[in-house]
Amino acid sequence: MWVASRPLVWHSGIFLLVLVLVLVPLIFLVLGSFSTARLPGDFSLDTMGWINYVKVYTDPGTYELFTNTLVYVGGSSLFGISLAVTLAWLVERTNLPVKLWIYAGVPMTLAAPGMLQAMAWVLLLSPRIGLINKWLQDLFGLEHPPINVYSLGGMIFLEGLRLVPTAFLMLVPLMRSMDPALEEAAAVSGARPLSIIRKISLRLLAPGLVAVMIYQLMTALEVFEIPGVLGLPAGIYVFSTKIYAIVRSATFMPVYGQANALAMVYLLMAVVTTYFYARMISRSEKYTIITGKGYRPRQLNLGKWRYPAVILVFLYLFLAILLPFAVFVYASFLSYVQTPSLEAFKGMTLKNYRLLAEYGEVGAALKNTILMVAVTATATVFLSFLVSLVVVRSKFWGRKLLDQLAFVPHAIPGIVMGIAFFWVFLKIDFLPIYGTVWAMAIGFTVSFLSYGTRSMNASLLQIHKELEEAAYVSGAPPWRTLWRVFLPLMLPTFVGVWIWVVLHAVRIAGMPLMLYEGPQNQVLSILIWNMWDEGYVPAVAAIGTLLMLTLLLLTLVVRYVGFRQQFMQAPNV
Amino acid sequence: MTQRKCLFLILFLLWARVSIVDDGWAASLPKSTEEMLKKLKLEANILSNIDKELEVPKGWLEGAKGEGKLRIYHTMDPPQAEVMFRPFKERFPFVPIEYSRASHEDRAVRTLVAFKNKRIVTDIITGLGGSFFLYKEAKALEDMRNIPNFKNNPEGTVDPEGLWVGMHMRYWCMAYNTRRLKREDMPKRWDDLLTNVKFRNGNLAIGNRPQLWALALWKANGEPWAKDFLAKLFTEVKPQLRREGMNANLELLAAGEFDATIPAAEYRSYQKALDGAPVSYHCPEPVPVAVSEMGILKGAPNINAARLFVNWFLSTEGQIAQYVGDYAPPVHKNLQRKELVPFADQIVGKKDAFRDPGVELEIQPKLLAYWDELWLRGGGKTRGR
Repeated sequence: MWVASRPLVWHSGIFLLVLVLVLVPLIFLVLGSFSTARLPGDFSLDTMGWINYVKVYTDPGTYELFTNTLVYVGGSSLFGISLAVTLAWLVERTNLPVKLWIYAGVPMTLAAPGMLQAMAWVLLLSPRIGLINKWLQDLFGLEHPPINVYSLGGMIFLEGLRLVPTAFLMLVPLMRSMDPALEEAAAVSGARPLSIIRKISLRLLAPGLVAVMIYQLMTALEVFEIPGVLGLPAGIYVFSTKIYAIVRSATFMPVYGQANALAMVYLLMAVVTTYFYARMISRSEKYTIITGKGYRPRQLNLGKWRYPAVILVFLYLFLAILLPFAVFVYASFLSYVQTPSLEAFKGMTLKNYRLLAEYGEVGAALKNTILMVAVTATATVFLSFLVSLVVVRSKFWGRKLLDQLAFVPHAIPGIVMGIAFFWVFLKIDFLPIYGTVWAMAIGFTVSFLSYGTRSMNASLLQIHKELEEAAYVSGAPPWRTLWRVFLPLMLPTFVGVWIWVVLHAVRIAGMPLMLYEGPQNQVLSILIWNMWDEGYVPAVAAIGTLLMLTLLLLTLVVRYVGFRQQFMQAPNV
Repeated sequence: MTQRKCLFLILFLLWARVSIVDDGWAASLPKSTEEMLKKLKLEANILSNIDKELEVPKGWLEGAKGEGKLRIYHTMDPPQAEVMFRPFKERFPFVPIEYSRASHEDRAVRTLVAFKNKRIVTDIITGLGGSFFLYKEAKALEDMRNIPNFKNNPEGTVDPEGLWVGMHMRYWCMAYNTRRLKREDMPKRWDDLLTNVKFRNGNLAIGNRPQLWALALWKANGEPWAKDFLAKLFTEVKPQLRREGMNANLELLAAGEFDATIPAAEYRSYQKALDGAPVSYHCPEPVPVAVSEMGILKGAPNINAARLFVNWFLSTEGQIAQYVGDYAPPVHKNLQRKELVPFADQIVGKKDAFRDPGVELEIQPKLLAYWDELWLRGGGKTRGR
């Protein structure tokens, strides 16, 4: 039998490796929450107590966090999914004329990192300097700016916009595969279109929608960048930003144990959400809406609503990608932030782009970023493949447990994972990992393991065992089977997962902010965060413009080379 | 020889000596230094003592040659730092520099966390702000009293134990948007800020760093005045409470987010004004003054190069190079000149309030406790805790 099927030493090795990578940080997270020592390096079993929990949970501000987090997560998910359902329904179930624009445009919005989008919206909707606020004030003669983006409403709006593409990509297949028989029967019986949508379409979609909703709740719960850029200046904290604020005090030495104590509840919320999600997925067969019958979903005639629908679609694309990108391009040519005027256009300069070339840190951060994302993506692909090989192809006793272990990081918000690894790396100081890009690469690899293994599992299941058995009986050694059978067949999945990881690792700031020690392991997301925080707005706009263009190109390349399915794969609805 | 001829001869000899010596200085100066002097229109003899200033023990020079890259954490933008380093690089080409612009958090917290974990992430650290006592507690800084130019600094601008040395003067006053306010609108004394209606209704912004300016005022005017002033500032003027860093607030000021901001540093405001932003600078009396600190991390692997650099930095040449780099006013005793202070008309000649680290240890905790209460009541949030 082929090597993957036999319980070999390497099965146990992979099991042990994943066990260590996933559980050790969590153990340190829990232990750290009881640590009364100021720094992780000073932690010992003698310095344990409940003081961190007492301090954190007797603080009235902590309860405000719950409310803020619930409002933010619930509101943004609701807004994002409503918009995504509308868009998916328009392209799949109506005769909307510009469908291609939506199919092509919505996934493109994934190219804009959340942090940059939030910064762009600050330039648009900040109370006094926001371009839109200024225009509205001038247009209607308003005394006060009508919109304040530094608010829970602003955070919900922007996070909602950001949730749309993933939800859309998850919902499109659901909409496409719905059996139209019931809807057609209702139509024949004289039911009105809105009534059909409400009473039949949405009810058929409900189970899938709930799964999408839970997935989006998990995403919104984890996100750090939007509340970081929009909430922190106004003192509106959610869990992720509060943990950051505790750890990153600029005046005093941080009390890391308190951050850990707070992270425990945050982790619990994420675990509960993930539990419901996993449960939903495991029962997915109960909600099957695709049957063996051949059919073509019925297309609703929008009639006079066609044009408002087109406007809605373009408004979304305009708000989600065009406007933020345009404002960044504009700001990147300014000496200082100012509203568009003849004077502003006259004073436009290339100095911000020149600064990037001269700013040594940009080059160093770029180098670190390339190294970090390349290592992370390669390690994720490699480790995920090996894990999946054991889970799907072997009879190893712990394969189910291994699968579950690989899924655990999905429940851990990035910032919590970051702080957990921060403790690990500071405690194992005999290994010089803390303060290097390797620290971030390890943290991200563990974080992305759940996505990697889900994709690999699905892909491996599609390759019949006959192929490897044929190779085995032909006398091919295991490495040749891997090289000649698995690699060619799984290449699209490998490339898809690799690019997915690159696109995500380059944009996320939460975990790197925890594992970043100084300029020597600074990556682009941290550089952007720091420069923004210190007022280098036009320079950030220049970096943002270039980064968004690069990611947009990468997204286009992915689509062009035909890995769309893997890259855009909706995580297991 | 007549008396008249003798006089001419003496004058000629004097002129010749001055010319020769001038040429001699010029010849011994790095090219970049000459350019700097030219740019600032400073006379060459300002550096007449430079060779003596740069004399260091031979062991430092030899030691530096065998060391790696000298790592420096500073607040300057890298292109500005590059300008500043030019004379040093010409003089000491065997000392490679790895410069990093580090945020306050990087300098004040992360470096110390790493140090406590036995990692020396930089050789030279600057601008410790209110975190000096933490470094002192952790015994994280070298004694620099053996650095020859340590003595160049005026009294009160070095640590008696040699753990830090002032690297430039810093004036923490206010910046204002010139499209919204005129010079005559600005307060002459800090108390005037409370009664001027132009600063009300959110037109004034304050950053959450009271230690930069209010600390010095507290020391100069006493606790009762400081508490009364701050209480009225928060409750009557009702400024915007901004969480951003001081540089970010300047950017927002230029954009018109508010009309004036406190505190603002003279050199950053000057840079912004040179960029064409509608920003100017004003100091009510007394002018809050401080020095920014520079130190060498204990156990720095490039200790000789670090000492060489600090010694050069504290020399007349280093201080002038710093000014050319980012307009930071020198701290050197011999360079206390109006032309080396941005917005000098707002600073020089006014009564000042000096903040020394002793004040930080004694008054800062009281100030922060009082400030936090006002800040929270005013709708702001704590400094992250």
